[in-house]
Amino acid sequence: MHARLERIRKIALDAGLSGQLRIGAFPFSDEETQPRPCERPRVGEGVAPLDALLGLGRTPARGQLIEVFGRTGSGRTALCYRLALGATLRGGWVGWVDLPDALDPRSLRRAGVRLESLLWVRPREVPAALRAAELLLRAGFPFVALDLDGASPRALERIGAAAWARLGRAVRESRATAVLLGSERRAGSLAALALYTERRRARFAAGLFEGLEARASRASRPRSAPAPSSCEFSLRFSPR
Amino acid sequence: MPPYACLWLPDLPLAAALRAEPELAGRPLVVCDRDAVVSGWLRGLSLAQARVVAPDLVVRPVALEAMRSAQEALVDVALSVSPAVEDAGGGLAWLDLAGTESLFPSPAGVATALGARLEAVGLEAARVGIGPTRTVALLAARRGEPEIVAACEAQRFLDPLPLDLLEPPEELAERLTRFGIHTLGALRRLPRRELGARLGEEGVALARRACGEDLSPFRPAPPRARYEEGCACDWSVSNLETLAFLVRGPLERLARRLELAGLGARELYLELELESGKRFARAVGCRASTVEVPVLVALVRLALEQDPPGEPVVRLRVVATPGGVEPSQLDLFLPRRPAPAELAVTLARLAALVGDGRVGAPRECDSHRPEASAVADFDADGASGPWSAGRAAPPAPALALRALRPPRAIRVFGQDGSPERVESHERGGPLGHVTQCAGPWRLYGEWWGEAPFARDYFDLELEDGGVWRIYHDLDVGGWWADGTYD
Repeated sequence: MHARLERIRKIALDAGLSGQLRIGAFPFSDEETQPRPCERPRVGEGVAPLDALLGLGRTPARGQLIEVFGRTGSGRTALCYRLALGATLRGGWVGWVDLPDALDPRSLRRAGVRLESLLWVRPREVPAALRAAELLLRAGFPFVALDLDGASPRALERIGAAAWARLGRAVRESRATAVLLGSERRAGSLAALALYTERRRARFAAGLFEGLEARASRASRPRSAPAPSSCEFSLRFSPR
Repeated sequence: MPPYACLWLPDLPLAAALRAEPELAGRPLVVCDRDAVVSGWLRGLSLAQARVVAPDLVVRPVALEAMRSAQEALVDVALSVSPAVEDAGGGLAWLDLAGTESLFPSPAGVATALGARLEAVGLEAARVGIGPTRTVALLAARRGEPEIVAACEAQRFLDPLPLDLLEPPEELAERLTRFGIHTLGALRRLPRRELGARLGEEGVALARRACGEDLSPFRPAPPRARYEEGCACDWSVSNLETLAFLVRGPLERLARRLELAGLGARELYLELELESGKRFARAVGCRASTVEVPVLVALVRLALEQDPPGEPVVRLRVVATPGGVEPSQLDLFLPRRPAPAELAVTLARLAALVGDGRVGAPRECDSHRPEASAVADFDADGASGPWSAGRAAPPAPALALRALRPPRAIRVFGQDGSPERVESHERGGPLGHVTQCAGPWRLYGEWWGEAPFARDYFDLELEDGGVWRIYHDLDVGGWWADGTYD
């Protein structure tokens, strides 16, 4: 099966058609028509539990800092896009402070976020990123995301606890929602909700990358309405 | 209603100096050019004599820019009441009041409104006169009491007035004094033919003015295209803090004038005269027209922080291009958002913090390159967009790509073009054995442009669990990682 697939792919590649085609397996046998493990319904899996965990669809809690942390490939960026989507669906503006300069407009659009409603700020240093987030909060943006992934630990340690306290105060006083994205937990008790994301597996099927399966768990004690403590979710790859 | 009003500044240089420095009000003040006393509390004395009489005398040089701004402010006050205004210069402006009855039912209302607006722009010394002709209105302003003269009372008002109020030429005034003519009434009663024979055309013109006649037609001033204010520094200013403090005064005066016209500053043009005599100019754009002084000061300050003049400043001038102020309507059902003026300051502050071109709305480019993206200006109107809360269901969660900018150079090991191990010596790049792989997906395009590309893309899962997007550049021959899925 895979040898045949590789032959077809090679022909398409030689013909210069692979830019237009993505070649994968078609279910030829009864065995292959069975639902794959990732498609089986599970408890706590899917969009609804994830949205319940993120608080999407509810009236947003004012003045709270949400921390989303985990390793690269654990779906944390997709979760932040999901939170930004919730803000733009309510008609709000989103401020996105992007220290690693990693924001991809196509992914944002695929996530459903209105690009016009998002202000993208690309600072070069950690103090400038924190200051930019504070400026956006004080200006009245109802949702501000601060992506600090990739910042050197030394730079993060150098800013000190006072900077986090100032950010937390700005979030409280502005009554906005701020999301902190990183590989480790940084805000500590300042975060009203801390979500830890971990990768379950990458879905490759018949030579195609189909997406990621991940799990989000609450790493902090809930302060607001009861919500599930963890859920599994799948992120589907879309080439367009 | 009498058809004309007059605004008259008795001493323009002095009024301009007081407008620029309101804290000098009540103190003995002299505005002079070099050693000659031009005007002020001690008119006619030399500066040294004046200092003997008043040791705490404040002396200011004549500032032509301040005088021009004061005259423009006078005209702006007039324009806030009537669209037909004649700018006579020298601290004088006339208004045609025809058609303003619906706004101001009585002349007293006009006088009150003009007085309040003159005070608002810092011209408390200006006087208002209203009369059936411009000459009568001017004389009413100069006389001060009464300030409103009806057409039927004009003759009775004019007759007892002293001749000096018409400011006749010195020689003519002397001759009339020798004739025993001291009042306008006396001049009016002289026969015109004989007056012309003895005093010439000037004498007849003066007699006509004594009767309240206007000698020239009303010349309306064109609408103002820009507003200008400036100030001179007492000493060279090289500190940005001090410069920001100094610029506040002209900006406050500009804001008051713009407010009178119901306009805001859409763009500011800052011109600084440097100690070396050079000029330093900087345009400061406002995202929305505004008259909020703290906002304007912040914008100018940020512009100067980004691009400092580099030399001490001795004089500054601010020119505002006016624009309509659009009130922002709050929505009960939408989340709060920054006001337009606040957004402008925030964007300027962010640009100063992170650099130009690094703040804006993300935009997809019309390109076949997967990594192509751009930053557009953040437009408050476009950002507001249609409100869809409660109507649109959120789509299913989508996989996000974290872009690597610029792409990291990598080394790929494998057989038959299929990657088996990836190595990158750059920070944040992929490193490890490939556990799963999809691809290649060949993308080529833009062969019609200057930068064609041809690449084979792969999606790789490495042993550490990360999933990367890498490509093989078929033109250059190297391998690059340009993103990771998250």
